[in-house]
Amino acid sequence: MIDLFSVSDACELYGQDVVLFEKLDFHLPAGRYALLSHVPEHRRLVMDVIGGLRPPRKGSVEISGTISWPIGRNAMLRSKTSGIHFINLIADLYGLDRDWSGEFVSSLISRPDYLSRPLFSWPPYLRQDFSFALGLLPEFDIYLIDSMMPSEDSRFTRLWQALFEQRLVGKTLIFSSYRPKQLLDYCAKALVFEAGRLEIVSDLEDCLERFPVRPAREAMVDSVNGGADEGGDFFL
Amino acid sequence: MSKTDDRIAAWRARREQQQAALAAHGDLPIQLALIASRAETVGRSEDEASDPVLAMVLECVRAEPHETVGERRRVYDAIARGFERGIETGNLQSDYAELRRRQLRTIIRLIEADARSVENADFRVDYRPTGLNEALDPLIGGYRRRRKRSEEEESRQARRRAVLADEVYTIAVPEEEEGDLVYLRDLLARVDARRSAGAGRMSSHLRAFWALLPYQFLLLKSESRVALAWTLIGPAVLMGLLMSAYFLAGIHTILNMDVPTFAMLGSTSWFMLRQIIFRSTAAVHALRTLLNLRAFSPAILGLGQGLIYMCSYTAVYIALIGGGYLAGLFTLPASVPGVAFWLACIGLMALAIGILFGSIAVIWPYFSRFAPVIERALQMVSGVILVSEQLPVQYRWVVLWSPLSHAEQLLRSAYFEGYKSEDADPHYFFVWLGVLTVVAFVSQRLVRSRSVPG
Repeated sequence: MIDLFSVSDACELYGQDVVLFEKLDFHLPAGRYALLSHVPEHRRLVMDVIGGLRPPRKGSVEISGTISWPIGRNAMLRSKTSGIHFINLIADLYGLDRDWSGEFVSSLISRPDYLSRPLFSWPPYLRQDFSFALGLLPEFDIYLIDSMMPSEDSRFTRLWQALFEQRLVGKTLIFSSYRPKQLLDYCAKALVFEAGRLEIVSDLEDCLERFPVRPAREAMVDSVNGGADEGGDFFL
Repeated sequence: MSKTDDRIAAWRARREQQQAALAAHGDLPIQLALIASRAETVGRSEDEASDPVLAMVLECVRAEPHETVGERRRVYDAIARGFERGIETGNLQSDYAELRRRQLRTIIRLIEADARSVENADFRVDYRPTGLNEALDPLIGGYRRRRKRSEEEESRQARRRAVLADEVYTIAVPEEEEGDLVYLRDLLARVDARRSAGAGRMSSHLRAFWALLPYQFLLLKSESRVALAWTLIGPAVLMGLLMSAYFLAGIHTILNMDVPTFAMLGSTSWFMLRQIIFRSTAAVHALRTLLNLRAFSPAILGLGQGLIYMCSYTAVYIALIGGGYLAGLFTLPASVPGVAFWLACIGLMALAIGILFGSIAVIWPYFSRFAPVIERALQMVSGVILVSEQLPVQYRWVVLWSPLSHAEQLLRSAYFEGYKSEDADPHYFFVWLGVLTVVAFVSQRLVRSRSVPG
C-alpha cells in the first residue's frame, strides 16, 4: 500500500536537524498499525513522509489508493472561516456533495449551531469533534490518525466510533496516539520507527512496553543524548 | 384444604428441609444444619442487596440461644459455612462472590459489636446494626467499579479479537441514539454514492485548485472587511498622490495620456502586483496548516492566493474605471483585451516573484521582511510614476532594465489611443517572465521537502 524507495530525509525539529531516514527501502502492506517511536516527536515527522504530505529530500514515496489527511490535527481548523466553509472545502476537494456532507457533520457533532461561526472561536472539544467528523466524510483506503481518538462517554463518541468501525474494515490505519489503550483497540501491529528505520512488529503489546507512547523523562534524555552530539541537555 | 392438611404439608416441608440440610451439612447438629441450609439459599442469590443477608442472619441468631459469645459464634460459623456453599454451588462470578462474602462478614461483625455493647440485645425484626449503611455502601460502590472495569476489559478483549480479524466491532449505542446512527449511516451512503458517481470527472490537481479558490476568497473576506475595501482604497490613495504631484507641476497630460487615468493605471496595477507578491509569499512559506491536505502544495497555495488577488483587482479595475468614467475622471480603454492581457502578464510575474520569495523564506524566514523593501525599490523604476519616454534618452536604462516597466508601458499603450510606447519590448518582458517562472518553480521544488505541514 505504501512503498518507500531509497528514501533519505532530514527535518528540523525544535531548531535541530534530525535525520529521519537514510536510503530506506520499505514496503508497508495493508493493515492496522500503531506508529511507535522512542522519541514521540518523530512520529509526526514520519507520518508526514509516509502519508505523502511532505516529500523526502531524496527518494520517493508511492501510495496506492486514497489516503486521508492526518485526522485529529487541529491546526488547520483554527482559521477565520466557518465550519461550513471548511466542510465545503473538504467536499470540493474530494468530490463530495456539499449538502449531504454538511448535513452529516451537523447531525453528528454535539453543537451544530457553531458551524456558521469562525473556527478559531470554537471550544477545543468541539473542534476536535469536528475534525473527527470530517474524517468520516470521504472514504479512504488508508487512514492516518495523529491524535487521541474520541473516548469520553458521549453521544458523539459512540456514534463516531460506530461509524468509524464500519469505515475501517478492510482498510489501512496508521495511528499515532498518546493512549496505549486506544492503540490496542484499533491496531493489530506496530510500525516502529527507530534509528532511521521502519519495522513492522506483530506483537503490539510487547512493543508498547518497549516504546511507551509517553516515555519516562530519563528515557527521553538518554534518547536525545544518543541522537545528538550537542544540546543533549535540552530537556534538563 | 383443612387445617390438618396444612399442618401435614408444613410438617412435610420441614422434614424435607431437615433432610436436605442433613444431606449437605450432616456433621452439624440439626438446628445448625438448618441454619447453614438457609444461608446456602441466600448465598446463592444473585441480588446485590444486603437486606436479605441481614434478615437471614438475624433470624438465625434469634432462633438459637445467643446470650454468650460462644453460642453466637456457633451460629455465625454455620451461616458462613452455608453461605460459602451457596456461593460455590451458585457458580457466582468472582467479583460478586467476593461482594457477598464481604457483606456477610460486615453484617456479622456489626451485629456482634452491638451484641457485646448492648446488654440483652434482642435483635428485633426492625433492628439494624449501628453504622450498617456506612459500612456496606463502599462495598457496593467498589463492587460496581470492579464490575465496570471488568466489563470494559471484556469488551476490550472482544474488540481486540475483532481488530486482529479485521472485522467490524459493534459499538453499543443506547436505544435513543439508534435512530441517529441509522440516519448518519444513510447520509454517509449518500455521500459515498454521489462521490462514486462524480469520480474521475476532474483531475485531482484541478479539483484541488477548484476547491482552494473559493476557500481562500472566504479567508480573505473573513480576515476583515477592511481587507476587501483596502483593495479599492489602496490604489485610490496612491493614485491621488501621483495625480497631485503631476497637477502641482501643472501637468495634465503625459504623452497624450490624461493624468488621472495614467495615475489610476499605474497605481492599481502596482497595488495588484505588490499584493500578489506579498500574499503568495506568505501562502508559500507560512500557510502550512493546509499542507496537511495532500492535494495542496505550497506552490498551489501560492498560486491560489495570487489568483484570488488577480480576480479581486479585476473587480477593482472595473469599479474604478466604470466609476471614474461616469464621474468624468477617467477615459475608457482603447483595447479591453489588450489591457486585460497585460494586467494578466503583470499578475503572472507577481506570482512568480511571490513564489520565489516564498521559497527563499522557507529557508530563511527573515527574508520576508525584505520583500517590502525590494518591492518599494522596484516601484521607483517600474513605470508606475513615469514612463521611460518622459526621461532623457541617456537615463532611460534606469527604468528599462526592469521588465515591469516594459509591462506597464505596454499596458498603457493598450489603454490609451494616443500613446504607443517606443521603448517597451514585449520579448524582453516575456523572457524575464519565463526565466522567473522557471526559477520560481525550481526553487519551490528544491525547498518543498522543508515545508513541514503545520
